[in-house]
Amino acid sequence: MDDISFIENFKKGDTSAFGSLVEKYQDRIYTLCRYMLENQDDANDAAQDTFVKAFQGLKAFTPTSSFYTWLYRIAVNTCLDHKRKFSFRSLLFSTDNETHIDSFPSQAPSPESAYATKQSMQVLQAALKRLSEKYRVVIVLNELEGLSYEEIAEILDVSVGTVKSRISRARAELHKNMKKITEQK
Amino acid sequence: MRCSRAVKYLSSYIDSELGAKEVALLESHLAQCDRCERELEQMRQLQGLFRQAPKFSAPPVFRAKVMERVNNQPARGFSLFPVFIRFAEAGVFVLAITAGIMSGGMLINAFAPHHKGDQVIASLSLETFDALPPDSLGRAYLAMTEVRR
Repeated sequence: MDDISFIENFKKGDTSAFGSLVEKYQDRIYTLCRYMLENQDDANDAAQDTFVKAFQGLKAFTPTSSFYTWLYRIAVNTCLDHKRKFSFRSLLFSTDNETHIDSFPSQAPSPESAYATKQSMQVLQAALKRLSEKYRVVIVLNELEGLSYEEIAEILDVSVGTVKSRISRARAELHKNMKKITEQK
Repeated sequence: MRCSRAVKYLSSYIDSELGAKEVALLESHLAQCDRCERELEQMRQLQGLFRQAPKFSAPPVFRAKVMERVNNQPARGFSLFPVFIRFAEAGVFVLAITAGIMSGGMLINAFAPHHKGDQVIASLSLETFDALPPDSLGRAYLAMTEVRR
């Protein structure tokens, strides 16, 4: 069943239709929140909050845009709110960045190349963490979620030109950060 | 196409977001420019890393937790309370500023009444110091101020 059908059923009073939408998008939204917030608990909270807010607004949702871009917009804004509210907690408790890498299922042909890939991923993760929110969100939506420039523009409510410019700068910053991190090691 | 323009197109190029005309121009430039070609290769490597980045699964009870939260929510009707709160916040802010200005004014009046002004002026007068030599600048200043009074 497609998203529009689920939404129509939900509007008729079938709450379980919303459960189907949660099941369909929970992994993608959770992944987005993990890369935006780094901390596992914060990501879980933000992802849950995203769906709760979507539930509250779904009756008024009109399919002028796709459901998933609407949902992503809620997720991005929720993550940004979480970052601002709970940055104090992340100062006290260490982030579980190592968990990100340890859970990475290596498909490398040999232990040496697996180790090299793991090292590169650690550098990428660290470089991503240093990006500002503005650049991190476009890179995550484009590179990790595979969204087009137009979809990202719709999610962030900016022009396609702005998305192009931010992605270009984000890549340049990432590359610069990765070089610095590698030199420091 | 110059390098300064080509570099701006590289990001859109690897995302297949460039128009056909720009693609042709860029590829023509890349065929002759090692520097831009290296830049493109770096971007492709970065993209390759992202393709290997882990995708996460939501925790096993995620859906159940969300449904529990949405099913336990109170019914939301229209309420003016949030609007009222905003106006109340603004009102408190304006009152605080006004109180600050008024109390500041009262303090100034309490500690600097007008009849003390002459005492302040007198304390600053050069006459409180040792007598000035007749041909000094200070004596000339005193002479000028005496004439004005």
